[in-house]
Amino acid sequence: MTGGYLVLEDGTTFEGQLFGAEAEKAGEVVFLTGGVDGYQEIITDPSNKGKIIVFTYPLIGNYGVADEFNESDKVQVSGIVVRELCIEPSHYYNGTLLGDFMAEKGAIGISGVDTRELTLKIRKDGVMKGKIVKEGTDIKAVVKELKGEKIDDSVKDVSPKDIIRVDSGRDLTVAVIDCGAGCGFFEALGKMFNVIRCPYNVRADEILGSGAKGVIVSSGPGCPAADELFITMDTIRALSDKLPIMGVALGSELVAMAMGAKVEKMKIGHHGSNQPVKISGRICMTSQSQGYCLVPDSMEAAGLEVTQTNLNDNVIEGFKHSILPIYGYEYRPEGGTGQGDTVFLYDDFLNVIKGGSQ
Amino acid sequence: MKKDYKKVLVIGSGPIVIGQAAEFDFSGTQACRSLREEGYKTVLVNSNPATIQTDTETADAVYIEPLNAETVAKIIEKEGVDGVVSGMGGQTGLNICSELAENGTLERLHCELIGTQPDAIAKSEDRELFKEAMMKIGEPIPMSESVNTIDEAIAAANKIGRYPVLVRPAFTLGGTGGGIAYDEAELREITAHGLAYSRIHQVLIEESVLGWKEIEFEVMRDSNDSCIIICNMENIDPMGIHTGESIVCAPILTLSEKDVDKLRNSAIKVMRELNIEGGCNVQFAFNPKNGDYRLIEVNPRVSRSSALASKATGYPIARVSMKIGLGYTLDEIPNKVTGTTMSAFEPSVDYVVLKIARWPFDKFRTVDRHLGTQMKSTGETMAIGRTFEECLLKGLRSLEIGVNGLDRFDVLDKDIEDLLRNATDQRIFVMGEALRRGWTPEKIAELTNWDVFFIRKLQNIIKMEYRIKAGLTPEILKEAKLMGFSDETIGELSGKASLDIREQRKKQGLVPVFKMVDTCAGEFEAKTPYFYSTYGCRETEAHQVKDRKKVVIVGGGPIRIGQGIEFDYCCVHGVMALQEEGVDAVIVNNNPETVSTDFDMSDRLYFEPLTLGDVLNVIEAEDADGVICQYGGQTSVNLAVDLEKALQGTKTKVLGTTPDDMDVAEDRRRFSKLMDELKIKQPASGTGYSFEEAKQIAEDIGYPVIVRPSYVLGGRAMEIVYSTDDLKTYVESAVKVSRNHPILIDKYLTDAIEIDVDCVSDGEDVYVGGILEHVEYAGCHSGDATMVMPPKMIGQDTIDEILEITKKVALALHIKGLMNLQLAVKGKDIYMIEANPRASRTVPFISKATGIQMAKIATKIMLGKKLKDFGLTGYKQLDHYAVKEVVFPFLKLPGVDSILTPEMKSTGEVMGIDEDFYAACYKAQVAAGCNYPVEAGGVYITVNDNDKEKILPSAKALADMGFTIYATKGTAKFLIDKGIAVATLYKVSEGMIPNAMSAMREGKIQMIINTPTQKSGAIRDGASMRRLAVELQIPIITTIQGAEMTVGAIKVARQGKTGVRSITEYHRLVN
Repeated sequence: MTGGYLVLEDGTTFEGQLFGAEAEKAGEVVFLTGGVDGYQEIITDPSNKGKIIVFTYPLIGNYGVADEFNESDKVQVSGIVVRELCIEPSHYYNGTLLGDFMAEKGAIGISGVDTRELTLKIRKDGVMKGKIVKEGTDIKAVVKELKGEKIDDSVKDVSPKDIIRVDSGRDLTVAVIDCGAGCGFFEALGKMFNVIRCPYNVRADEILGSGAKGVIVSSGPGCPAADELFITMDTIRALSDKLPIMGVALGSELVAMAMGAKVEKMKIGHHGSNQPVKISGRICMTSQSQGYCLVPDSMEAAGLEVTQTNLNDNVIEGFKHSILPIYGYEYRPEGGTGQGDTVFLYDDFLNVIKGGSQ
Repeated sequence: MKKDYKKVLVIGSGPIVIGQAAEFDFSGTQACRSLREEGYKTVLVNSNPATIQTDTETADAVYIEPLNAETVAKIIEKEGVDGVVSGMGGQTGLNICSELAENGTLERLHCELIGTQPDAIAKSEDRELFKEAMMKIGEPIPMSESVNTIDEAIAAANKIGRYPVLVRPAFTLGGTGGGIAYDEAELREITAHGLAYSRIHQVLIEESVLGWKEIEFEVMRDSNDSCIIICNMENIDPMGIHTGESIVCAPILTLSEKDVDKLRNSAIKVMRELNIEGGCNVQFAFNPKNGDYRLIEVNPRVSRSSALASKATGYPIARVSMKIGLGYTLDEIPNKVTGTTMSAFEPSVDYVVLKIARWPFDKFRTVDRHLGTQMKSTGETMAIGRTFEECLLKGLRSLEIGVNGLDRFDVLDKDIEDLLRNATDQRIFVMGEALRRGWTPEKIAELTNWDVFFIRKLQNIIKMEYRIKAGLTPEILKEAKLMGFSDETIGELSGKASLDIREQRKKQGLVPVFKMVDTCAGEFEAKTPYFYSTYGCRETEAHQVKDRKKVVIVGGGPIRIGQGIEFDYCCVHGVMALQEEGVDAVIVNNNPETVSTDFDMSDRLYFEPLTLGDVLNVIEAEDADGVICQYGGQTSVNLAVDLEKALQGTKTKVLGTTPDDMDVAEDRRRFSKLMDELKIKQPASGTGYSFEEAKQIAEDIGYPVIVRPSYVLGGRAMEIVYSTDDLKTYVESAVKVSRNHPILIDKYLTDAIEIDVDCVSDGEDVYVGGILEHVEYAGCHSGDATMVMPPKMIGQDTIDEILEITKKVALALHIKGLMNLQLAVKGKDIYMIEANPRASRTVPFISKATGIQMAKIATKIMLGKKLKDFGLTGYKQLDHYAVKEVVFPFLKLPGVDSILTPEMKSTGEVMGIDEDFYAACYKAQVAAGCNYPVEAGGVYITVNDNDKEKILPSAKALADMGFTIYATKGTAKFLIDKGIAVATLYKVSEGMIPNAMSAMREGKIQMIINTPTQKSGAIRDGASMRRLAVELQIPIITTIQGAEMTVGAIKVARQGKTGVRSITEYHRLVN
């Protein structure tokens, strides 16, 4: 392994060993709380595109990697930062090594970093840009460059180019505006709906003519206020009084903004599988990679009611429209722990489409 | 929303036994604090005086009374309790609550259960109901059937269709009486055993999931049906080894997200179906080969696992459970660790936690060391690290079993395979040795059913050993420290002294940093002052406090026989006293069960091994003003001299009695010299450097003598020998005697009464807290002796002389703090056995009996206060009685002789307290679980010739009460001559029936009075009878005094009028 650094835009550096492909990449450095598991899902999740993920758990890669855990066929993150990368995993999953997998996918990581120190720094100073570079690199130059660095987190790159119909033999069909959803999402939806996967720039009439009875706007990477997403919001607005709509993660922010709400960037965001949200009186753990949040003051004017908040910091996690069947959740109801805690929200949406109410 | 209760009762778990240790002192104490901060009037009952929860400060009224439904009902009635907490007293507390609910007491007294309700308890504890519930929600459990007879058991096994099958008794603690049956014959035997132990005479015959992974979830649920996982844990040892015995890591290290979520969702589903509110432990067997799982067990209460999970994550499970019981929901309970968030979250950790069990096999050399579904360990240690290797090595050296890490282990090549396949406490060391000898991790994984992931971590450690041996470069030193190697091990491998390694690495800038346990992996700012050390980082989170004095208290480590919860009690009192004096109290300890390691008990808590190096690291990080070594039992005492040496020239002082004075007390020569100067008698003694020398000394002194090796502390390998032949056997089998390892020989004082004295001194005055008289004769380890306070057998002159001796010794040793003396009274003579210049096992007992908290006073004296500041001096005799009774682990450790010897064997103690002496005896015996016959039954009496006359009053009293007296010829003839009706039995050695053992098996004998002949061989001969008595749970009394107390206790029981009183009421009797 070769030595290298994680360089942050404020000039702080962390020394470590590089693994994965021979490359240097920049991204937005966020830390992710949670357990030992789920690393493969996280790095292949298109929502995490452009991020450098810091795993707070110090041992990563313990059970190797296996195809079944992929959220997409690429490693989406710009890089990962770990304390210790496992090179001798549990023998039960017959998987390849995480390091080899990353090399094969052209992805990079750095190990040997005091991830707790880094986490506490981000908590204090907020998320910032960073770059994983090789030993001997001119750090000052990297820092300078980082200031103007454009993070590679465009929805365009992770959204499908064409409309794809997936008929799983269900009664109802929904259209998904796919801003970068992962496999787990489609797997969960497929159990309830036939799915029409649409690009982020799909037009409202294409959906209205498709036979879909409802619309789900998916999760995805980056900033919801990015220029490329205005078109998505136009489509949502056009559909808002015609079909039931549910927004998930980035999708919920797009739905809310389409209705007139505002978002703001969070200092550190919510990244991990243990974000507590109260849903109808019951506390549920949710899987989030949330970097932006809705501005509470902007909700009422947009006709939106807050239905769920985060129990740690009161950030809005769920809303519905006061009249129309429009809903949004800042997490993926099926993601990680959500399988047990929140996946029922899709059932609720199914009932809405069937004519019930949520 | 808070419920209304006038008064709430918390039930403790009683004496420390295998399977139920200090964790319930921790949970009960947290529960009481939680109740009182909500403003509830609180009552606590526990029979164990060595607990923090029985401090008068814990509750509005504290009862030290036997833990049974009858006594608890009396307390409920007397106090007007209307809410009883069901889940804080382990299985003991839960069973009492079940009984009170079943027999209608709760309803009669208008009392509710707080926390898990009777129907939920029944659903999780009753195998059939549990199975029904799981089938209803479609959760898989091992195929099984509850049976009440052996024939039913065999039918059930046939239905399952393959052996082995598991036998699990219902309603027992720590898996008592269970086992794995590999064929029908074994099934018969184990089932018979299990049925006998089950409270409802029921066992479960179960499909085997041996070798699967064992996974645990600690779940919390509130009345809104919110369920959260506090912690998940992976047993590194597979199914088939009791979770109390397994090495356990938190969080799960080797399962994918999909698999973890599968089990998580199942655990939550189960909680909801069983309708459990509060903390709960769910255990799974998981087959990693195909993803199958089975639900194994649900514990609807806080448990040893929940104590571990609390310490592992920082989430106070008992506290939150208590609040949920009171009606709060998770989002209404603040997270005390962060201070800013609520308890409605799943903790995330950013370190590795390992729990390793501590077994008593060093004490019990004859016991079967194999691990299985029966728990045998007495305690555990927890380690925290940033790598698995670091964590493991810390955990191993925390065990205090004479290793500094994964040390070399003496094993023959041919034995390795068997030792890997059939686990013992030593398996991890055998694994290390196998790796050193070139075994592949895969092969070891196959034999042990460990995940190869973990074995490769062991291999990393072994590889590092070789690298260190090959030459210690700065780079290798750094890597070794990152891997958690101790300075001691590195020194050993590189041929240097550990303190030199310490210097070398400090010069290299290799010092540990301390990271925080904060429940949230750094996501939120936390205020917890709870730390662990790690290397290879630049940022430490334990910042030195500048404007306050700081004192480090060295804790007691894992609970073991000889060093139990009483030392944790002393440490906690040390903390409280420091805080009362405005000094920051810092705890270093590694026992996850205890109150001392609760995150908000001390000002700062360091979870660390208790070796010189590890403790010095903490002292340096703290820049401490002082360190206290008197409270953590032998663990901390052993560090005193080395710490003082290492701290020379720094600001940190070893507080209290100086290590040099401590050494005078510990060193036989120096101590003997002092006793001569003070004109205090000691039993004749000598030191033998060869068998011949030892023989000569023994003959000069005169047999019997007590022998022990000079280099082992705490009564280990100590024996009474009666003849030269005995001595020869001892030297040949138990210890090697040599120039470097002499044996110590003391005159054994036959028939002497042993006395324990505990005092506090400030160097000028002495306050004697209590004088305890042993019921057993000198020679029985004081930790095992039944004790009576105040003394009954010795006269006032003797007491006065004892006080005089105590004062002389305390002043001569310049004691600043606590001192314990062990004395023997023979006729008019008083002999000094030993002086212990530290907290003793009896300090909490005496403090509870008198209401004077000696450990707190001693701490303040160490800080410079004087006894007269507290108005204490001399000695105040009690006018009520406190009797200490002990509990033994014989039932769980087949192969151990139940005879009491100089080697300590008991795991825990109880106190019986009453104005009436015999009522105190009765309470103590009931609390210790002795099943003395009350109404009728048979008593087998066999006493030595000296005792025949003395047993007469007790024998007569028993006969008058209608008991049938059995005896063998000699005793029988004597008693018949005195006019007592006796049924004569043959001696077992005569080979004729009826003899004592046949009568025992037939159920004719309910109690045995056996005073052994004090000579060679006689004691050993009774072993098979004693074993049988243990199995059949027939109490044995071995002294005349004990017989007399028991007879008195039986009379009290017959009157059925014993009352209950809070200890404050007793303390009022003192003042």
